[in-house]
Amino acid sequence: MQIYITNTTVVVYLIDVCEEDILNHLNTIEPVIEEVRHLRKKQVEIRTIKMQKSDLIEHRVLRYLSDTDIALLRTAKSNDAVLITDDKKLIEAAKVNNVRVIDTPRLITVFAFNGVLDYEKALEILNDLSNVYNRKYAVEKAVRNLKEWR
Amino acid sequence: MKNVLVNVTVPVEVAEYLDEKAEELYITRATIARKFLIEHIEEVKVTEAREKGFSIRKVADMTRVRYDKVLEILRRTGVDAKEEKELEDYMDKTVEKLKKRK
Repeated sequence: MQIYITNTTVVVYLIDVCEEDILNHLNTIEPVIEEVRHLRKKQVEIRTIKMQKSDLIEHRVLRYLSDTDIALLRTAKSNDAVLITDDKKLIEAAKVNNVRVIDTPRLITVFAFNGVLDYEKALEILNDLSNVYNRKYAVEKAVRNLKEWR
Repeated sequence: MKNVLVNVTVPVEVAEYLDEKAEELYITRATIARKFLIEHIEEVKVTEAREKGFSIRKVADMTRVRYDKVLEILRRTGVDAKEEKELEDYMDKTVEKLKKRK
């Protein structure tokens, strides 16, 4: 079964568009749960995955990441998991380390493609996300992909 | 947070605008001026750090602006709006692999 490990951006966006149920399909590390608890003053229901210490490729991109970013990357790499994040710098670091990575709009489309979400629901979530998301073009692209697939 | 008193001189038009906004919100001119100043400085700090290439979390740590506020500033200012084709293509490949897996 595919493991998805999520960054804080994803959890915050899903809470903000009132789609916390999706978190049932995701995992994360303890620092992310603490961060979300601090930001949204609530305990989110999401599986915790133990932080791992896989080696990362020495690359200048690591200098631009925080300790939690690096912990997420290591854990995703150790578990051969898909990292879910909306942070371009973390996406770049995942690419450098051959860690599979997608953002929140793509997560919604993958869940639609694989039957976790129905088409109408996925479209609704993407439309809500477009109001809060930091990269509007990514949501527009996800909507187009979803409509083409349908 | 420790506070320091700052005295500034502004054009009449700016003072009139501050008074108008303060009246709408039932607060003082000084309070609204402080709010605008802090918001602007946070925005500048966040966008500068992001343009230097730091991750969202690292930007939040460095600027001491809340993580979700950093996200909101990035959205509002469009700092992340530029599409990076290599990263987009990499994520699209991941999507294709995930679609085939059941």
